[in-house]
Amino acid sequence: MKHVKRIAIISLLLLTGLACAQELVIGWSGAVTGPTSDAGQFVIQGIEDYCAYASEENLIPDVSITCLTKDDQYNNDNSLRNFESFLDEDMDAFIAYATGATLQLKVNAVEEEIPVISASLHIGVIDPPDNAYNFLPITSYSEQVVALLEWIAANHEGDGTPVVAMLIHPSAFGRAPVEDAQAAAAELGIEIAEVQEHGEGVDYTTMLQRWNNAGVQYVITQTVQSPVAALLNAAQALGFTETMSFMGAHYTGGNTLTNLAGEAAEGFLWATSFALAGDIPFQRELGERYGRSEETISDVNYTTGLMQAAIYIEAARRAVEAGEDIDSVSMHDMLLSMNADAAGDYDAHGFGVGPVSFSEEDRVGVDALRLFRVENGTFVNYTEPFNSETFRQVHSGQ
Amino acid sequence: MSVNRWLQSGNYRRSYKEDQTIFATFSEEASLIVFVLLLFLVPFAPFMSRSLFRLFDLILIYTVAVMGLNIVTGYAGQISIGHAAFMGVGAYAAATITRDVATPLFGFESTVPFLFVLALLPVCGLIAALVGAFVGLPSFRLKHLYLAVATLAFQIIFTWSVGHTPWLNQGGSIRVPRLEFFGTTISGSKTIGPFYYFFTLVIVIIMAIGMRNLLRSKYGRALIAVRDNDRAADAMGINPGATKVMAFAISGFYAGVAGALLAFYNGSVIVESFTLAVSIDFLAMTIVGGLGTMVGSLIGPAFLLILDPWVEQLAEFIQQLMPATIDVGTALRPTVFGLIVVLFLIFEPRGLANWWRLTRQFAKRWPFKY
Repeated sequence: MKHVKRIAIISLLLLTGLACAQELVIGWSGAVTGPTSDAGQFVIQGIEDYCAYASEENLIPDVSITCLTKDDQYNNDNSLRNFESFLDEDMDAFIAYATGATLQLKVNAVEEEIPVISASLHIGVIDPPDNAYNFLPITSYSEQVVALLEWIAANHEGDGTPVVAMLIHPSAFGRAPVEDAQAAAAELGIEIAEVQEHGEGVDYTTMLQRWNNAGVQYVITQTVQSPVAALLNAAQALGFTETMSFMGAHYTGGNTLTNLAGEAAEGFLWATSFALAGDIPFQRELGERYGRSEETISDVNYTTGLMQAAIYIEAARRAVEAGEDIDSVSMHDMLLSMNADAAGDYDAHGFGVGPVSFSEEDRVGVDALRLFRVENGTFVNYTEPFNSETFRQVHSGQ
Repeated sequence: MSVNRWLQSGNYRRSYKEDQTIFATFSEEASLIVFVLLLFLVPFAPFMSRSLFRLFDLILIYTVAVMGLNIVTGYAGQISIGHAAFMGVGAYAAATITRDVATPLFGFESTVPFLFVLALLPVCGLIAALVGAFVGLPSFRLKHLYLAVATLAFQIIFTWSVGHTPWLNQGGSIRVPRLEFFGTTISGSKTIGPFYYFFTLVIVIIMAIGMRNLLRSKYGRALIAVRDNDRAADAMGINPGATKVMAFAISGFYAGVAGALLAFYNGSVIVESFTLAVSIDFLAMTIVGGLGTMVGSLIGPAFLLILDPWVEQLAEFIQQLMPATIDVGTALRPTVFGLIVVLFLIFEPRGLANWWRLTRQFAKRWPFKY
C-alpha cells in the first residue's frame, strides 16, 4: 500500500511537471563545413555555449532549452531542408547563416510564423516583401558602408572631393550595399570612382595601380577577410597604404584579418555593431567555462553566435515572465516588444556596442555601430558608437 | 507475338513493330504500374516528415532536369556543363513572367492559380529550349571537350549576367507567388511538401513518357546515331548539326520545366540554386544513374540526393573529432561524391541503371539462372 501511494505521488508529480514543463527549441543551420566554415564553426560554438549556459543557470525557470544545430555546407537547399527538419521538432525560433539561404527562407518564415535572426546582414533580409519574421542582430552591411562614407565626409583632409573605390564580393552579399552607398555618396559629396567585384585571384596590383591613377583616396571593402588581406598586402607592397585608407564592413574585420594581413592591416578601419571580444568579459568567462580555445574566445563570430542565442533566450524569458506559452508566436511578439517603449531594451551582456531593440518598424537589433582601427596588430576602439543618419535618408526600404 | 507475354523471360520481339513496343512483357508493364501506384502512396506513409517531403520533392524536380541532361549527354553524346543554367533560365522565366507580365495583366496578388502554373511550365520550358538551341549552336563545329567548354562558358555567363542585372535582383531572391489549387492556397511546408510531391510526380511521369516516346521516334534514333558515329549518321541522311542543336533544345526544355517547378516550389528564385556546382551535380547524377538510359535519369538523382544528408552528417561528425584548424569535413563531401563518380566510371560505366537491369533479368528468369 505504501508503495502504491508513493508511486501515485510520484506519478502525480511527474504529470504535474510534464504539464508545467515548457520547451524552447531554437534551430540553427549554417556552415560547419564547406565555404565560410571558418566563420560558421565559431558561430555554432557561440550558440551551443550560450544554450548550455542558459540551461545550466536556469535562466528561464521551468523551461528546458534545446538548441538544434545542423551543418548546411553553405548550401541553400540544405538550409531549407534543415529548417523544415527543425519544424518537425517543434522549433520556436530559427537562426539563419548564409545570405542566399536567409533571403530564400523569408517566405517560409512568414508561412510558418517562425522568427529568424540571421548572421547575414544583407539589408534585403529585413526589407519588404515577406520581412515580418526577419531580424538582424546588428546593423546591416548597407548601414555600415554608409557609416564609413559618413566618416570619410567628416574626416577628409585636403581640398577637393573625396574619391572612393569599393571592392565587393561577387554575390548578393557583396552587392547589397552598393546602391545605398552610391546614393549616400551623392548626398555626402563623395565620388565613388569604381565598384570592383573581386574574383578568385589574389593579385590586386593592377587594380590598385588603376585606382591610384584615378586618384582614389579611400577603399571600402564589402567581402570577407581573405580578399581584403590580399588587397592590403598588395597595397603595402606598392606603397599605397600611405595614400589610400582601407576600411570595410562587418565580415572584413576581426582577428582573421589581422592574422592574414599582418603589418599590412595597420590602420584598417572596421565598421560593425559587435563589441570587441576584449571588451566583453562575459564572453571570455563563457568561453573558458566551456573549454574554448583562445582563437574562439577572441573571434567576433563567436560573439555573433552567443548574441543570437542570447536574444532568443531573453525573448523566451520575457514570454514566461508575461505568463505566455513559449511558441513561435510569443517569441515573435516578445522580440517586437524588446524596446524602450514596450518591455525594455536588452543589454545582451555587452555583446553589441549598444543595447538590442526591435519593434514593428525596427528589425535591427543593435542600432548603433562603431569604427574600430588596427593598431599594433589588433583592433581597438576608434570612434564612439554612433548611428548613421545618412542611411535613413538614402535607404528606400524597398 | 505467340509467346505468353506474362511469362516470357527473354526478348522475343521479331518485327520492327514489336521492337517499337515500350514493354517487352505484360509483367514489366504491370510491375511499372504497381511501382507508380506505390509512389503515389508514399505521402501517406507514417514516417513522412517535412524534411523527407523536401528531399523527395527535390529528387522529383531534379529528375526532370536530369532526364534532359541524359538526352543531350547520354543519348546525343554532347557534354553539357551548363545544365543548371538552363534550369535557371526556366526558373527566372517563371519568376519574371509571373511578376512582370501575369500579375499586372491578370491582377494576381499573393497567389497564382494552378491552371496558370500549368500553362506557364511549358512556356518556361520553351524559353529554356530556345536558349538551349542557341547554346547548342557551337556543336555544329565543336565536339567533345571543346563543346563542354562552350557550355561551361554559358554557365559562367548566366551566373554573371543574373548577378549584374537589377531586373533580376542581381542574383538575390525574387519572390514567386504561392499557388492556389482550386480555392486552396498551397503554402506552409505541411501543405507544400505533399502537394508538390503529387504535382511533380505527375510531371515526371508525363516527361518520362515524352522522353521514352522521343527515343522510339526517328528523332530519338537520330540522337543515338549521331552519338555513336556522326559521320555514319550523316551518310545515312541525318543532319548531325541540327540533331545536336535539337538535343540541346530538348534538354533545355526539360531543364526549363524543372527550373519553373523549383521556383514555384521554393516560392523564390535565387541564382545560387543554378551555379556551376549544381551543373556538376547533375552530371554526376546522370553518370551514376546511367548515361543513355531512362531508368538512370530516375535513379541517379534519388541515389545522390539521399546520400547527401548521410555524407553531411558524417562530415559534421568527423569535423567535431578534428581540431578546428584541420577542415576535413569541408573536403569530405566533394571527395565522397567525386569518388563515387570515378568508381562508377571505372567499375560500372553503365551506372545504377545496369544494376536495375540485372535485377530485372534475375527476377524474370528466377528460379533459373539463364
